[in-house]
Amino acid sequence: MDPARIIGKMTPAARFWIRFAARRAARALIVIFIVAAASFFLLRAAPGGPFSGDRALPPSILRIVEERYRLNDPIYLQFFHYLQNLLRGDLGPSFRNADFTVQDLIAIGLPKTAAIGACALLFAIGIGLPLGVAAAARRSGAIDRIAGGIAVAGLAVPNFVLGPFLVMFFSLILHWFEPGGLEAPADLVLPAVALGMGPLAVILRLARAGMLDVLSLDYIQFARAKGLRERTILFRHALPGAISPVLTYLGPACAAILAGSLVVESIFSIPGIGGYVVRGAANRDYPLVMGVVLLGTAFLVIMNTIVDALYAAIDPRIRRS
Amino acid sequence: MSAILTIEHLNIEYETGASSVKVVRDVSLQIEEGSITGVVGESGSGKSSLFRAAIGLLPPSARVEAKQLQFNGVDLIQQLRRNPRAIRGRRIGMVFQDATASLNPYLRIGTQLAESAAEHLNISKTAARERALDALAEVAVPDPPGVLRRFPHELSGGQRQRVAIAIALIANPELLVADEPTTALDPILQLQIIQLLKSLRARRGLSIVLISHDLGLVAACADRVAVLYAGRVVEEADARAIFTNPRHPYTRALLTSIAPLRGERPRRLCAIDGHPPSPASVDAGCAFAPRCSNATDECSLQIPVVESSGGRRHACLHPIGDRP
Amino acid sequence: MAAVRFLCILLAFAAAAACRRAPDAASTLRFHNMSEPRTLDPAGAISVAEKNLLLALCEGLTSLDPRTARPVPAVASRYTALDGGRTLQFDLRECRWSNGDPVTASNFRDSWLRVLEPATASPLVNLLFSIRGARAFHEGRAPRDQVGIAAPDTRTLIVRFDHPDPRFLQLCASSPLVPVHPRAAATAGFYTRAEAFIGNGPFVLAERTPNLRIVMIKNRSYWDASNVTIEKIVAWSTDSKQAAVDAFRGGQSDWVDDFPAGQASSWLGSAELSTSPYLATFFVRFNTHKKPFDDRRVREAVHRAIDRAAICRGILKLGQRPATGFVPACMETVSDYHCISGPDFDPVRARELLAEAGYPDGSGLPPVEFQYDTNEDYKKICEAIQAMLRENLNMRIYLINKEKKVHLDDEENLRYGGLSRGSWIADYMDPMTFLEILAGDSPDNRTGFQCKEYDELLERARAEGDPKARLETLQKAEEILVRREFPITPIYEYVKQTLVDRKRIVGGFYENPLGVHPMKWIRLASSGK
Repeated sequence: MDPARIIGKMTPAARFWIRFAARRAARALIVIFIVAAASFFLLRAAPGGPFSGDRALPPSILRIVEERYRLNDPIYLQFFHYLQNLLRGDLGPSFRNADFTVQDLIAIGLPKTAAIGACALLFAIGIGLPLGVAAAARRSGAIDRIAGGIAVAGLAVPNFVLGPFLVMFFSLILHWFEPGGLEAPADLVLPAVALGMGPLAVILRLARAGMLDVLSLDYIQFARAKGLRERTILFRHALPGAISPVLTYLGPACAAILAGSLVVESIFSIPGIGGYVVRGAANRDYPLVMGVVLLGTAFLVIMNTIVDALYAAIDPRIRRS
Repeated sequence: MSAILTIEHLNIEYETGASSVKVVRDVSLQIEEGSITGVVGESGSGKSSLFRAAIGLLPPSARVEAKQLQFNGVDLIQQLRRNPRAIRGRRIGMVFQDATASLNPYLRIGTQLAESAAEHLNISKTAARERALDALAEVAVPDPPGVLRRFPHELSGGQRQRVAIAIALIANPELLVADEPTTALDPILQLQIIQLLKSLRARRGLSIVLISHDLGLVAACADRVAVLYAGRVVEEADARAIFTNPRHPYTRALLTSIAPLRGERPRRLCAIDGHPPSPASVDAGCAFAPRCSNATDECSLQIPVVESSGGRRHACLHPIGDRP
Repeated sequence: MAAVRFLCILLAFAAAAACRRAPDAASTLRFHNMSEPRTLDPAGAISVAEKNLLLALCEGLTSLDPRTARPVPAVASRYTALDGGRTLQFDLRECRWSNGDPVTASNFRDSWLRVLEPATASPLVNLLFSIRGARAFHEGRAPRDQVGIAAPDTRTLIVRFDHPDPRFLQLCASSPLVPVHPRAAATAGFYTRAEAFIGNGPFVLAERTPNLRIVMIKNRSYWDASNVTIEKIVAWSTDSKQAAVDAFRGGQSDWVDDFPAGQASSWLGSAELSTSPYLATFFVRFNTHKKPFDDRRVREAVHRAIDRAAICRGILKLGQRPATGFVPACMETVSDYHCISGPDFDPVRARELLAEAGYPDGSGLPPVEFQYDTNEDYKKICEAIQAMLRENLNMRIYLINKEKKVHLDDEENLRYGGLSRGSWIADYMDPMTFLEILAGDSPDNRTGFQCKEYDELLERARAEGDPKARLETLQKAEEILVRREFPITPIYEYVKQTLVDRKRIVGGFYENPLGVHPMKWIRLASSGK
């Protein structure tokens, strides 16, 4: 059957979603290519090579190693080879962790980073959103004041301060948690809190502000005039409008959590992919840094797409394009 | 005819920090059952606050005092404190100026109609849907089943106001307060909405309060008209009497600024010289005195008492047609 | 209401805390091995962290005595020097790989040839160059069968040398010379998966999580397994010395190999601190291609203007010795080498030398850059040197700290402004391990120093059959460095600063000049704390 006719027969919503997916996929590929090129050339622009060390390799050995990894080819050729391998799904070997490929390392590190990242995001949304809504619903009440304190603290205290503080208080004084590592589910708690506190504060403020904005809108007045219950007004009528800014923030929140994981993983000695970037950059482990950066980019692109999709799903006006 | 809503000596004050602002002062008014009552005034005259007080929609900073605020024998002040939802939507419906803003953009029309029905009538989902279809038919929206599935942005402005009215009426309230229901619409649609209100009154015996700054619009449908100025009722009378024989200079000034209903959009009310006073600045004397051509020194010293005679009342020291 | 919520959150916290991990068993040794190993392939191992692990996972013909770091018989039960030391015959004991295969002489031969293979790109390949034909094979000038390694039967290995190599028995214990199971090359994940790994050391690989830890368990097939009491070893990897110290304080680690120098005073007097002389030197390189350090008199002036004792006393505090020679004094305790000292601190003579070079009272001296790799410990030492040179020579010095890889890149290409911080840790207990790096063709030279006489002395020492004459030749070479040419100026000799939980580690843990701790010998208290 003619594809044009199939599309013609679709409901407007289905057409919207197909166009949405196609446009986003194209955009994602472009973004990933640009990030790949930029990080590839930037990485190699940094002075110092992957195989220098306190003990230099004998020149003959260095030559063999550099030839093996094509480090002496012209840089555009290297990039071309990298892309070729990337298309085949091969991210290459790690220079610093020579016994592993980049895929191996990501397969080992990603679940850990994903676990603390997901916990941090759940923590940020699960506490920030209800607290923000509650604060707005009872403006200037006790909850509002507590929420205000949390928001200020969460924004003012960076994760590299909060992390060591949590370790000191909950591990070294109270002995509730281990100071580092990722052996038991309990070990997720402190890193997730350290990582999620900043986004939590932002979500809390956005939810509160969004809720206050929406609560002053005519349609909430009208919903009151209709005689609806306060709970119905709050959750059915006000919430969808109020969480739009929160939803918009989820993309940046994921980016913040991803970036924060670089620091938090090192504070809590969690061997996730955040540490790969830090160590990889310090060691000029080009393939490892590239692999993680591309993974992060793909993740953020996907998250932003999901957020936009949610946005369109919640707000019918967006689907009318 | 009996009064469905009785307001006696009602005052509304907004607390703003240390000071407070009186927006409604000593207002007494009766809404007759089955009538259309026009409430006219400029913005800031307190006309909206007055009726929001009647369904408890004022912000928490507002303080309402009244000698009496009765709705069909129910003490509204007490009832609103105890269970406002027994009144709002259920016995008094309300629609606002801008239906586009009144309808929730995130919810389908069907949901917004049905939830009111379900809330007040205690009926099943399907019954609520039936009720919603009836309500849409009653306000003469074409294709009610289609409209149920739509979102507000998919409707025209006139349709949206009809839908808002349908929502306000879905639980069969006895009184509909329409707060500037046509201001956002063009004159043709204004007229259609007015026709709709009239037909609703005729069919259901619905009592309607039509709040407007547009005396011309009110003239087109109201039985009785109350004119508010700076929180006070300055004149109240049958619509015909107001138009043919206004007694308060403010009413007369309003009448002279009416644009023809058919034709151009109404011009702004500022055809009257000067500006309405800010509610905070009215202390003594007649609030209209600074803009009044009939004003004397006396006017700025003494608050005029309400004089009622022959089914009408006014509050002016020098009423028109009463000059010495 | 809000208080109740807060309580709930606290309770949830407490509940999560309740499902904590189980403690380690009493027979598990945990230690902080510092940086993550690059590889567990013996041919590629180069760092201290890698050597620590390979001592547990593999065993060479000899192994190191934990007290002295001298070679003792291991896989070889006996070794005999023949032909005036030009031939070594090793008799292997009956040992097995962890999968039960016998460890044979040809396993050693093949492993060593693999290290020599250019394609293996083994960084320490030159440790094998004293074997006859080895260098020629590595450089493609001779075929494989010309290399002087022979395995006439499964339990005999014969190694031939052009000249006797007194270091070789030590080298046999070091990582490039341990055997690798023949299946290693063909097995994916041989060094990363417990199921794939086959070793002949006292322990075998049980888990490898990059940047976290390496877990090893006792190898039941090990020939001396009855003397191994530790059941399990957890080697933590971390880049942060502070994190290691925190873990040590928190009882997660029984031994930490290093700690931030700034904490020296706070550990002094603690029972957990263990310090001992370490075969390692901290020094400053001169860029001899750059004015004013192209003049040896200026270099000597700098050498004489540094008050090393003040640095050791004031900054380091853990008993580090001031160094005026390149080879650390503790070399004398483990070999017959007599260390050469350079001139002492003498600011007056330093100024004279500077004047002779044409810079009386430092006038005319260009501003000098002193570059070091970013590190708080280095910074303090470099600042002290900066102040001394300004005070004593009126030399204006700018400290420049650079990220490690950039610093190394600048050093390799002689791009640094004049002075550069350096350090060297011995690979084995012989002065050659130090003196070699300043040979003209050494990639670790990084000073531009090129001295024919010096290189010839090193060559002569390599060929010298008589151990005594050999060491005398090396002394002459060191004299050139620290009494005549000064391509570097030594600052101090390291001490190995280790934190040891003596309540857990009750025996078999010694300090030795190589700073290695073969875990085979370590005894843990039978009940953990």
